[in-house]
Amino acid sequence: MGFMESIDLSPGEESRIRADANQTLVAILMAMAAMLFAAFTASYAIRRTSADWIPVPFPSLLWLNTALLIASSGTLELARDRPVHARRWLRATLALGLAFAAGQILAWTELAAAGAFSPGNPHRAFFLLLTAVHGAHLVGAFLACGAALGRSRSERLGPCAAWWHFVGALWVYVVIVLRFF
Amino acid sequence: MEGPSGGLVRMSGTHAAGGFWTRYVFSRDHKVIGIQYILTAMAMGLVGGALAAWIRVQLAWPGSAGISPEQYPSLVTMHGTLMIFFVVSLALVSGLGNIIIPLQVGARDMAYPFLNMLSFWTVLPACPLMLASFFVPGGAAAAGWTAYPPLSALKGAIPGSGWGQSLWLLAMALFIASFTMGGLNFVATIFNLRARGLTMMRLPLACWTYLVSSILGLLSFPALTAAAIMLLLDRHAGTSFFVPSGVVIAGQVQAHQGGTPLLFQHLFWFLGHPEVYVLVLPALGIAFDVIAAFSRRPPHGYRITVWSLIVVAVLGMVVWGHHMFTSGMNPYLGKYFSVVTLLITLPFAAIGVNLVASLWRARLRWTPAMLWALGLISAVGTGGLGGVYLGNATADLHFHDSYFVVGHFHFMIGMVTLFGTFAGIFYWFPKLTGRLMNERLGRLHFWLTSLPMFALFFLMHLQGLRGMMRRYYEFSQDYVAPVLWLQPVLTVLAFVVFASQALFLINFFRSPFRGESAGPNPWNATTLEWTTPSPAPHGNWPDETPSAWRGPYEYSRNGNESDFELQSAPAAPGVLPSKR
Ligand code: HEM
Ligand SMILES: [Cu+2]
Repeated sequence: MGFMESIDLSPGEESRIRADANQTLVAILMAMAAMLFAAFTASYAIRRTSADWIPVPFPSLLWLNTALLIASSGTLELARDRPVHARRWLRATLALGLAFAAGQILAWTELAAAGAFSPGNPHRAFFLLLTAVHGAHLVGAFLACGAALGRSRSERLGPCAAWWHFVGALWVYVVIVLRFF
Repeated sequence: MEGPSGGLVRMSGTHAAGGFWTRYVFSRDHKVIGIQYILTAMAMGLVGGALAAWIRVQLAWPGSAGISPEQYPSLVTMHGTLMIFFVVSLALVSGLGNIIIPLQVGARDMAYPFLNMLSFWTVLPACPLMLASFFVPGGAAAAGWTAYPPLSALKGAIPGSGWGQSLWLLAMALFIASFTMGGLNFVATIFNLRARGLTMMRLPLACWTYLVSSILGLLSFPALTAAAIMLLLDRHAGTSFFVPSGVVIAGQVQAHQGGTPLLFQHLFWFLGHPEVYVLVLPALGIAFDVIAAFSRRPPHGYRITVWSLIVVAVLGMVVWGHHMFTSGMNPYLGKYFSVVTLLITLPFAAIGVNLVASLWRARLRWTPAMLWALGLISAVGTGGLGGVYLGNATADLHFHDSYFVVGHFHFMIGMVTLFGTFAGIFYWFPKLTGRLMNERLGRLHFWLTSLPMFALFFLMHLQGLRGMMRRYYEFSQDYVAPVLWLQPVLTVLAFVVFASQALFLINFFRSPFRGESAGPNPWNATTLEWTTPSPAPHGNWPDETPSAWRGPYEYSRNGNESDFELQSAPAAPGVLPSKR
């Protein structure tokens, strides 16, 4: 029971306003996530100037993961473009997303096994921190797009797709920060 | 409840009868949730107030309050934390915001009623968690409401750094989650659920301030979230984001190295400063609505006020460094933070001038709500003036961490916010209960609260000028001797303030049963909430929701004070924009 009931509406208006409100929600959530990662980036920039900063090697698995996530954005757009096959492409998207998540967990455990949270290595700590927080945002993307799959309403894909792409872009940003700075 | 059928009128099943539990406990009705927030805030306010009283006893008669030097910082920390996050945030923002917003925009409820309910039930458990910290080993958190590391980051630093700080962080995490859900709902409701014809520039100023405040809060809390996550890792996972090398606790050099506590301060104040506006702006918005109704005139300069609010919010996000002038920063950076801080006084002054100008030559109606709104203007003016001094980096070297600051911020986040809350409660009480609060008791409460509070916090400025520092257990320095005699005076004033809250509580809990009954529009006000019966039913309007045909403040239209036009009163045909 959403806000459909919250205001007097003709049926057409109702779904338009619901979509608008969801759009508002997603827009703000994106701004909030951007602020969160801006705060982490600022911390990263400050912390990396200290003497104990030893860059950890970038696990090459993450390049594959990045490719998977970018591909998933592609399939999601296909789902939006082709309402007839929407569910199939949506499933492909979720599968690619899951593969990404699995790869992330793999890379994560490797780093953690190497003692990532030992006090001596802030870069590794940021590595785990940023990937984990990004993962939490990915969970949101799964929930939103999974719900869309359940309802198979491709016209409702807008907000979920926006969040999915955003989480992809966020990942690329995280990779750039961790790999090149 | 059965809504009339057909056409544009659909009544929700959401608020359909239901039993006691779904109606009053796990309710999705924004009005019930708003009241739940306010009751929670009142309970926490009693604790926060009791802590202040206890602190004041220690300050007036050192050693007589049964507080040890180690406990004192805990009491100050918890008083500040409770007051800001669990009293003012919950009562003024979450509480009154919930009550006002859907009614003023002409919606049946919030955009996401379930999220709204969830938001309340997320913050509720945070209250016992926060209070429980008094009873854990080591006692409550003692690092200040600002939770600066290393005190907050190293579990063994001081007694409150252990269990107490962990509970503090947990409770704050719940608070942030709840406040975020609430803010999202406010914004989506105001942006997307407005009645037909209710364009943004026809929005009552109370709604505008809630909108700006919510967006500001949503965009600045993530910085604190980031800081809190890193603080947790420092505490529990052995990382060192904020802890510098070489910290020694009880003779032991800590393993942490290389972190920087200044980073935490930056992240904290990136939220901390905007948080003040998150609390203060809605109080100003309420004052505008209340003053319009009781001066029977549209507030002066609606558009300028709206734009000033937006500018205040934008500038509010880039001035945080003025809390850190003495923490050490590049002098050029300090200059920058000084300049933007002083710049922010311009839009604030515009808002203040508009508040005062709204009164100019008006015939005022001295209801308690109006008294609170007027008191608020005086508190904003006085507190704001103090801010001008503090914003100057050089002057702040002297004022910083003194009672000048304590006096200043109590004017703003103590008085302005509480006055706005009381104004709002008196003003919208009839809409919730169908009855008016007692005016005489209300006036007495106003005078017995506002005057001593004003004196109390004003005199604290003077103590600060003399060099009395905040968070000190006891003062024995020679240089403060000339202002020490004030200590018992301030404590007595504080006790008058606390005692007079009994008047409010009696009024608040008696009036729903004994109060004079109010019609739909007891104040002859103009905004949409006054178009529905009092108390407003589940779903807010028994039949169709209203449309807005005109601006929010059509008072005294032809110079005749009894003239007013409800926003929903149809104008000439063709005037209603089809836009929502
Ligand atoms: C009459 C009511 C109040 C009295 C007498 C009072 C008294 C005090 C005193 C004496 C201190 C400073 C103690 C010290 O630094 O040693 C203090 C700190 C503080 N108060 Fe209040 N207070 C009152 C109401 C409020 C309210 C309504 C707020 C609302 C937001 C508030 C927020 C704070 C904060 C944030 C601190 C700073 C805590 C810290 O240093 O970490 N107070 N109060
Ligand atoms: Cu500030």
